[in-house]
Amino acid sequence: MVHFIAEEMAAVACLSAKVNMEAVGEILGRFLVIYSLTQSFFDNFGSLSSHSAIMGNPRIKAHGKKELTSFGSGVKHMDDPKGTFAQLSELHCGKLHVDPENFKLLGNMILIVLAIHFSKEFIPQMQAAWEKLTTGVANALAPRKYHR
Amino acid sequence: MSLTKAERTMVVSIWGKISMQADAVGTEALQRLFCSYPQTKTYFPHFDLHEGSPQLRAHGSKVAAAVGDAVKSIDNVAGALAKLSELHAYILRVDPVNFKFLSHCLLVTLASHLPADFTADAHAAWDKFLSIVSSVLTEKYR
Repeated sequence: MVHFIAEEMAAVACLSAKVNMEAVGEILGRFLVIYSLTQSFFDNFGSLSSHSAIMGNPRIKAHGKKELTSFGSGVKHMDDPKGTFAQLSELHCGKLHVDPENFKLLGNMILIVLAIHFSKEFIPQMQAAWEKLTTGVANALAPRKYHR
Repeated sequence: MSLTKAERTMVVSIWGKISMQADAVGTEALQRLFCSYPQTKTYFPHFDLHEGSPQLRAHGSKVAAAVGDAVKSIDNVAGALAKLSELHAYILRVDPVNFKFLSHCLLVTLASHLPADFTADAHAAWDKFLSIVSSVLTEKYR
């Protein structure tokens, strides 16, 4: 269980309502550019040969949107990320063998893209609420044995 | 780890765009750090850390000045930050994990101030640059 105070829930709800899914589809592209080792998980997604190829790759964009949509269900059930992401945890850790550290790094990427899109509106308190959410999701995706 | 010529140009260019508000950027990065990672406040028991506090602003300016020095001497960050490296290792003894938190908050601050300029390439260059700064500040720990 993750406990959010009312102000934190309001901060998350306020921005989620305004998020442009097309624009934030770039999150996965940025993640692959900055943490290039993770590109190996997307070997069959087409060209990842350069930063612009990655950012323009339609399959990466589509997968980024899929990830954000899924993350959105975490926003709807902020207090129970473990339950919400149980199946995705099994997929990412049990089948794909993704190092759980990557979930935290992807969370950082979400925050930076939110900062770009919401600029001055993304005040420190807003960031803190979203950090709590992305950390909760990252922990929920980690293998069961790491769960507290 | 070292920056390519293109990455160095990118880092210098981005800093140039916010250099007039560098103090505010440093202060905001610290505010974000204390908001998102409240455990980092333990290193500042003697400070008033409320928004707008003169101590917070003064320390934000120091952080910005250090980043600025590293940008100016981007070919020799270790030389530029040698004294700060000793300060953090021998006197302050800041747990290295906190440099990752502050770097992340600096990136968020830059992104929110320069939304159009903080492209994936600029982001990648700054992420690498701040990793270099962090490793210089922790290299004397052991």
